[in-house]
Amino acid sequence: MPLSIVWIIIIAGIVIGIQRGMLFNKPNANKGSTGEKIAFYTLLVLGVGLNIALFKDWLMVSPLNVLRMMFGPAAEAIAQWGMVGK
Amino acid sequence: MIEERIGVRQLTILVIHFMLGTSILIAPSNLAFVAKQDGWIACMLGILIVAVSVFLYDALARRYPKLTFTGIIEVIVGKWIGKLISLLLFAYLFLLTAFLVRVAGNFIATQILPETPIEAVSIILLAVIVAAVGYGIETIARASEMLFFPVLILLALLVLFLLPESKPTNLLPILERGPKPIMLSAFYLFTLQEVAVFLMLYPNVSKPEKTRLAMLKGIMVGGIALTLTTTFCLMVLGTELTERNIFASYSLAKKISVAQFLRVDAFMAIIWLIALFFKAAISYYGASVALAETLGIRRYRVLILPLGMLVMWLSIIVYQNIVEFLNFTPAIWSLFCICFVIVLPMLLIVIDRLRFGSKPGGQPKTAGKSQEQQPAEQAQQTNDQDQNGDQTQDRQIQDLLTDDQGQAGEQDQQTDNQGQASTPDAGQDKAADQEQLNINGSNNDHMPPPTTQPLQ
Repeated sequence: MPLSIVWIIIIAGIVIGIQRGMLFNKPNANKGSTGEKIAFYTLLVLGVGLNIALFKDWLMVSPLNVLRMMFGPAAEAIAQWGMVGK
Repeated sequence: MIEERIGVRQLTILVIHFMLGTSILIAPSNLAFVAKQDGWIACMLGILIVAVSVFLYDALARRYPKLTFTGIIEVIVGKWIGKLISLLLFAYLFLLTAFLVRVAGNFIATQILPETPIEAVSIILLAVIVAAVGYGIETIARASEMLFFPVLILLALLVLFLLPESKPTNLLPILERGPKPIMLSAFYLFTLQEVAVFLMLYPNVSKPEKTRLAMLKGIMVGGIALTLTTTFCLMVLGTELTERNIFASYSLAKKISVAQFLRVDAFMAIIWLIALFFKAAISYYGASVALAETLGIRRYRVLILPLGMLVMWLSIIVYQNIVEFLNFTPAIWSLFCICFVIVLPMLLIVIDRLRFGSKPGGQPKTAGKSQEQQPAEQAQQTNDQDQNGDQTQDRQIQDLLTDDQGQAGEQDQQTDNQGQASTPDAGQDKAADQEQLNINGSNNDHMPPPTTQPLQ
């Protein structure tokens, strides 16, 4: 297993540990609702998966492409006016 | 439940830091690229537009002083459409945070630590931001107060050292290419500021009636610093060098030599990194609260750590290199920003007036309500239904408080930690006081408004 993936999994483990210690298993405190736990673990799995995909070069498409498609024509119009990047 | 409160002065300082984050390092170059030697005029015009936009946000926030931006959206346009728009708002704030982390990473990896991989820089920066947001907005505000004067002193020193190097003739001729480039540059600078993010913080301000003034003061001071930096870039480096340097103000600081040994360029790096940290922390806080409210999660802190991993991913993949970023921001990012900083608030104001008239709409049924508010509102409903049953109602409130005691224990502990309450029962007393006020129909104008956002 590549070292980067090992590190991502270690970081995820640390995140779970911190979260359980500070929020979900804190003595005499709100242990967290099911919704909170579902949201936390969903986002964590998503974060770990996307980071692994990034380091393994499985996913190299920037989400900004969506914005480019949406605002591309309007941006071209602005560029014709003179507001251009470098 | 502890309500996180920030003072008016703290808000002003946060706005100043927010204005300086990104802009102070990147804006001069882009302003000079489009407006050439009139970049300083464009900068002033851009700041003016930012100041005018505050009135727009204020008009919205005054109608709903206890709600965050996402809360306001859900009240005005309805629950499901509101949640959809709130998710888009979250996407905007999240993307902004990723951009900021990436720009900082780019800057450090190219200018200061060229041997260090950008991932390492991003992880360290992100860890600090996540920790800051985990401690809450009060802590961020206090830190901003502490770091404000060092930043101000460094900025003043920078200006002082640059004075002998400056050539005012570089600013001439004024308006050589007409007003259009200036207006376009001003528009670009305006979209870089993104002060609409503060709508997520408005309910936390201790004196809501002074929010507008605090924002305007912050924008003015931050704007002066930005204008000075741009003007000095143009006066010292000239138009061509300013537009060619991506981090023009950093190159500007490199020009300074004090007694042949003191490197003043570090001043600019420190100023910028501090400002960028606060901008990223505020954006990240806004994104976390926006997602928590949209998903109906009571504690935004639950989302901070996993969102951090997603920011890490997004900050690396968001663009390939700095040139792609510089091409992207003036056109596409500006338009994307405008949707949230101008179009959305204006639409909300219009829909609010059409739908609710002169009186603001009802409170949203979000799960992000504070724990005192929930029993308080239930008690209020009971009061409406049975106004003569005062004794029954008191009993109900006591029951609700007893039920809530387990949760209040944690809040009281936090209160002790933050030094805001001297006894463990302070949170309960506060809740009881709030309920009493609601039951009696007292005017709450002089009380700090409760927030609907999850603030544990």
